[in-house]
Amino acid sequence: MSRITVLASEPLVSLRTLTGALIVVSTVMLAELIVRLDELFEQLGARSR
Amino acid sequence: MGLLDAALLPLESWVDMPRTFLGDVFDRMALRGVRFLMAGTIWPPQQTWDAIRAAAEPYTTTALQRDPRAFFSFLDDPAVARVRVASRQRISGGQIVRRVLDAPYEPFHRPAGWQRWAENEQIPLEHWIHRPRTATGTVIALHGLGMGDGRVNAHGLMAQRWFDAGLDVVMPTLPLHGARTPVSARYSGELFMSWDAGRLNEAIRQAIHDVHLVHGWLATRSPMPVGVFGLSLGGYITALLSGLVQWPAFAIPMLAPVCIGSLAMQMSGAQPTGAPSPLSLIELQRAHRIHSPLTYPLAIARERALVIGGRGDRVVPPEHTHALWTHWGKPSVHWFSGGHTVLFRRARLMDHIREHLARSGSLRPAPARGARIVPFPSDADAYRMEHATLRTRRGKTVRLAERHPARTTAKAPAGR
Repeated sequence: MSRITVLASEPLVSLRTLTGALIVVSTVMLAELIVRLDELFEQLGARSR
Repeated sequence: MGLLDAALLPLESWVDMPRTFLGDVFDRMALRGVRFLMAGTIWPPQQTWDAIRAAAEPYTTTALQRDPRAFFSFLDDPAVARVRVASRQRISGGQIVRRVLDAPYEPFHRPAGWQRWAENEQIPLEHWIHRPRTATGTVIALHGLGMGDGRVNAHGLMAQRWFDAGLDVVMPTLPLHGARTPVSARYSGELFMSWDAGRLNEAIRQAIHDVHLVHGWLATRSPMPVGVFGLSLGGYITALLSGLVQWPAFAIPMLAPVCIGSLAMQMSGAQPTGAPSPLSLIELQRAHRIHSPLTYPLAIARERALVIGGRGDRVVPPEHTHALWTHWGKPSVHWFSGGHTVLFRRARLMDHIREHLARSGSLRPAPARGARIVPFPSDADAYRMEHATLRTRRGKTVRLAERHPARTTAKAPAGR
């Protein structure tokens, strides 16, 4: 049985679990965006000096 | 052990304070998500709590409490791995070889929660190799909980920066993560972290077993020094390994927890509220003692260790980094402004690591106690090592070998 079939046939992922996963993933992605922006500003600052 | 002592951090400049603040904020958000996630997946139903208590007993015997290293007795045997190449990819200055190591693992005690998952019996790893130039050493980089995907690992573990620093990089997938995730698990690492001490202890033992195997295989390929770097859970494995074996040329645990019990209590929400949990903090610490980095003194020279912590880390609070640093006799430590999820200024962090490696001479083979000195197999190798240099981002060039290098063949430690 494939992984997709297993997920579809049994209620393995509750709404609470899904919400938690969404919060974690979106937080990590947003954090990465902030880090990239910080690096970009640092590089621009270094160039202007 | 009880609760960890509060960390006293060096002052930071006002320019960096917003980064620490952002680290704190993002980590709190991530923790909120982790609590939801744990409540739906890892938190055990109350009818299983007795079984969970019983599962911890084989790991808390008097014999193991007296000699915890016996839990890792396989470390005294030579590690032999069967390896096959899965794919190759050219990159600037070298290539990435994806390999698979056969790693049949025999658990210390076969707990009810532990199964022989076929996916978990192999170690997929990414190997970044310098070609045609020779690397100055190899770093085994260990990922954090929930990671395991090749691209995510390479980014999080700064593989490109390590490679640019002149080191080959090996990134093995930890047990029950990434491609080793069993079909029954919903996400990478779900079956690794568990309230069931049997499952968690075996997973950590398997991680040490796998890294030992990877090092054994690397040692058959090249006499280059091999160090270990780990992030979060990988940092825990790095810190533990550095107390068990003497082969790491350097050990850099980053954002590493030292007490999984207190993290479990914190992430489940049991610690601040005092809500009932399957095991108390003291019971968890007792069950995890055999693999806590605080159980073992540092087995490598102190100057070869670097501990990295995040000032605003709320997932693995600074108390953990501080406890490890104190336990290891206060080796080099670096506190960056940021959190567990927000790793600001990776370039500066890597500069700091490069300077530490150059200053400590970690990439220069040093004879271990009771070691037999064996010359390099060829003059060409010796010449390459002798002329190897490390260029830091500040433009400083550091010679890695000041004299004719030598390879060391360490005897297996006789145990503690």
